[in-house]
Amino acid sequence: MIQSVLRPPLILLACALFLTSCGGGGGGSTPVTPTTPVAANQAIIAVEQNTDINPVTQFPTVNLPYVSVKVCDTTGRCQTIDHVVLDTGSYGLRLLSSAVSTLTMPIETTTGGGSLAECATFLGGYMWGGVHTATSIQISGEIASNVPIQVIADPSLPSTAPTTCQNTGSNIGNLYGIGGNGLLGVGLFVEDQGSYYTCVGGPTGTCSATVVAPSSQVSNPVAFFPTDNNGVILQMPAVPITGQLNAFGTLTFGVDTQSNNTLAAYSVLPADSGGNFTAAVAGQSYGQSFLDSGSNYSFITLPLSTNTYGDYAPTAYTTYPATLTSNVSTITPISTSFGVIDSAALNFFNTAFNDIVDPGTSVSADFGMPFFYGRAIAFVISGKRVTEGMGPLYALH
Amino acid sequence: MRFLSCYKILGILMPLLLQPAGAWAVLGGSAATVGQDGQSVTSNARQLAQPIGGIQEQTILTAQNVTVTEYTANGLVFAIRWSGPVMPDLSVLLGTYFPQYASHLPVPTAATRNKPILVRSPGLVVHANGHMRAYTGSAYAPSLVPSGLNLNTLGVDP
Repeated sequence: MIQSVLRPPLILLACALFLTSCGGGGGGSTPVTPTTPVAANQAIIAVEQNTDINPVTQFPTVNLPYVSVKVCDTTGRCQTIDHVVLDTGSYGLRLLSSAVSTLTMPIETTTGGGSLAECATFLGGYMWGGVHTATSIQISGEIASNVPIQVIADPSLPSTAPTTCQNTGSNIGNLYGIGGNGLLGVGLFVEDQGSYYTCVGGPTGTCSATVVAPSSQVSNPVAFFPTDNNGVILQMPAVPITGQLNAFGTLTFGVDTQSNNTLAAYSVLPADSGGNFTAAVAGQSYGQSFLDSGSNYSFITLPLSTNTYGDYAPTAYTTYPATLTSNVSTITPISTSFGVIDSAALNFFNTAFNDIVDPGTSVSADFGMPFFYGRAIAFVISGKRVTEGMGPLYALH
Repeated sequence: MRFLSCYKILGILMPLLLQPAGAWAVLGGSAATVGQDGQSVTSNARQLAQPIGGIQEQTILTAQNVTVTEYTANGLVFAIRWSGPVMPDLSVLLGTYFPQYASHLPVPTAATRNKPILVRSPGLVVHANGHMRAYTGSAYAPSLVPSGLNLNTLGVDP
């Protein structure tokens, strides 16, 4: 893990010393620019180096899909926040307080009169912040009104999270922990079912655990759009097996609601109540598997050895077949595949890679961002209907 | 004789009476250990006792809706597994093993995102995976696991 963090900056540093050589074969591939015009229900997804993060001294923002989000407050003032990470493995918008410092967004209050705060937990750590109401969230031409969002590192709350929150992991509620100015959770559910707290006394006050109604929880803004509110489709271009400097894809809102979001050519995969399915890979079965744009590598156990960075290291690029079977439906399983390459041979001037895989656990296969290139993947929200069935469901093309 | 009987009965009942509704054990603790942070367990905790070849299984629901199952052998909790919408307060689940766990966590940078937790040290093994609303994990102390036991049969990732 530590080596994995240090390795790319060292390569970049070496390149920085010989800039001319990096323009050619020694550096990343030729940059591409978004060319596809997007419709009112579409936004551009950019996988690129976030220039707020210095790749030499910090880390390259590998496989992080960014979108821009416009947020407006109670006074009508708006701010467009760039480099928000698009995450199909979570639900709700979370923004660094530093990115929305000019906006006036009231914090939600609890029945006891306290301020509502949340400890949002992830495998890598937690994000601590207040639950505020955004008057509107606009992404491309879609507008969601009065959405509960999380403001991370909220100056109106104690800066240190409660101990019970800290004991879930490391604090990742910052630019480097997120890799951007926020996280946009557009996965298979509406509410985040997080750990909530009621806080009194402001920044020097105290917080205690509380339970809140679903309507007060930080929620997937897509469900708040007047139309095109039943899910999203992420479409990413194919990239070479050695990676690409950057990559631009399309985020489409709504499924089966417009001519540009039909599932006609897709294979449908209904998800269980946790958003999971069963993946069979290399003779093993993983019952808690999922598709997650917020995982920048795939985490799937394979019969391969790892390199010094902790990534699988086949002697040559290898393709693994995978069968994806619903846990809740007898629908025909999906046969697909994914590639694996030894990351030690890759140039981390590039940011878009379709074949970096790390070990998973014995129960779960996490098909992360590498799996999204060269595909379109639909995420239909729980309880929402499309022609092919009812969410939560995935559909692959 | 009657006096002694009363004491006998009290001796049996007292441990049960003193154990609050949220009582539960932590990794490495005795079966009757009360969690170090009782706040994490509410009165809606449910307890199931099911012997599996001399191993006691106890399942608890925490205030965060995390289902925790503990496995006890020889009077000590040797393994736990959990499942829930959030990552649990691992200091409560791991007890005295928590500092060991924390020392093995990767540095807080997100160069690799949503990476499963894989801690494997001589004294402690922890696995965790999943995503928001669907986290699962398990932990065990190798020195406390009954010899010959296949942890997979308990749903604990070896």
